[in-house]
Amino acid sequence: MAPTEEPTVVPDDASSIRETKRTAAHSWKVIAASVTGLSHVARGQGNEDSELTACLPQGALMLALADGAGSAKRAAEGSRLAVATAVDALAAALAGEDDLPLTARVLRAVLARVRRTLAARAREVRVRPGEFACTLLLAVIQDDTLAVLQLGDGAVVARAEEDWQRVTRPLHGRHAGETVFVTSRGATRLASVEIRPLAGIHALALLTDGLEPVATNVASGAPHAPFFDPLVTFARGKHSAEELGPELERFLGSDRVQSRTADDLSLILAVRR
Amino acid sequence: MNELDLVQLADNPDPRAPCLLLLDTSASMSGAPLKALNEGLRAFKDDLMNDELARRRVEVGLVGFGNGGVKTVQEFVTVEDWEPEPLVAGGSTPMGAAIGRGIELLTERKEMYKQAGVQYFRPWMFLITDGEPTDGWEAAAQQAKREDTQRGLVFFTVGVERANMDKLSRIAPQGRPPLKLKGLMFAELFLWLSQSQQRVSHSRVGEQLELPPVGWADVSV
Repeated sequence: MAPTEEPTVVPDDASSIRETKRTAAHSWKVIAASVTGLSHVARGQGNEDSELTACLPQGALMLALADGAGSAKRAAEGSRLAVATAVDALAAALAGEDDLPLTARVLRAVLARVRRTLAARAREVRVRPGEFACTLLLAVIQDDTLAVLQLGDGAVVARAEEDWQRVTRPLHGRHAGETVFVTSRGATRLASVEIRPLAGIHALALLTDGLEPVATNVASGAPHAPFFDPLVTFARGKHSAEELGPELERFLGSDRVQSRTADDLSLILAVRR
Repeated sequence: MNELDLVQLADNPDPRAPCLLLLDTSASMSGAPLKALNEGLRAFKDDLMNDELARRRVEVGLVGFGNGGVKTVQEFVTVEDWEPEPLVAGGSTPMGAAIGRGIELLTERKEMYKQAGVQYFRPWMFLITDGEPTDGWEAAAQQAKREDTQRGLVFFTVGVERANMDKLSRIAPQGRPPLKLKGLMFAELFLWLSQSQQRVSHSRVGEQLELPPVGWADVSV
């Protein structure tokens, strides 16, 4: 259902966004990397993916990943604006209300806000909202809850016990290369949202569709465990997230990976400390 | 950081972009038109080969109608495995049967992809004629239009020289009127088709794919 209420406005004191209680941010280690795909390089397009990790009020940890549509002229700006707006909108909602439960309605409201922001920006520069088209993946960890929203392709996968699974449904069209974007009609309703207990989940990954051919079984959609398991071991290593990020980026940019896909590649990996 | 060397990549087949050409090889195509068409096909292959993804993803199939009736000249193959053979002209123009055969081939191919777990882009069916059908075409055209409307395929029709554009516009799907080739600009037509297929095979779209501008056809028909 489309939400009728706006998330509350962000307080002027922006530092409240960074303030954390007893937090998910402390118990999870997050590593992110994003590289430009070869066909984007060939076409003179830059990296149109955007990723953002943020600590939110009430100790929540938020991971956001957006993949700009190659067919959209302002895709890079669209994806940047989408992740930033999503983080701001949820931060505002959490700051405005004590013990706001993370519900599907809250996440859909965040998506609705992202849509309005992209539409407003499109009006401002006098282009169709579709020129800002991007997909959006959001994962929020708060207390003992995992809340995930997926709009479009890509994947949010979790390892529960020893088993990797998708948390949300991707939105693929009937044909390859067809998907739904934040700016598409009915996006708020079409988004796949999952709220589930965090218990048993040791690792979580968000990835854009460029990685799906190497990280998932495309026919079944299932995550490819031999892809993710070594990444978890890597992430758990003694080095800090800041040190590991560039390593992950080199891996995504390696010939081994790049020869298998031409699209931009982005990955956010979160493991329990 | 040798953990990353241990990451195993999933082994998935490339998604395929089927592109079926229905080509008029009737007697009237003899001479310069057929020569230009054959050269165009060669240019089509060469241009697609320059694109790393397209050469693996685009699958070309050829149906000729004219010489010897309707003939499947080339079963679907990826561009890298395709060796264009020169077409030979002769006979009448069984266009209706050719459209029927085209739909049949695409349906079979899609079924094969599904069984093999291979993803595929929306297939293209591209008809080129310099005349008009000499057989019953209504039912086949109806079916092609329906498939196009239901997004099962994209059906393009191109008329060359003295082609009956009136009839062609009744065969073409609504919203995709026939295009009239300027002179014998087959080379340009096939370069456009190659560029379009490259866009398809790289594409990720919410609604409609933006195609390159058509420089090889007269716009109003």
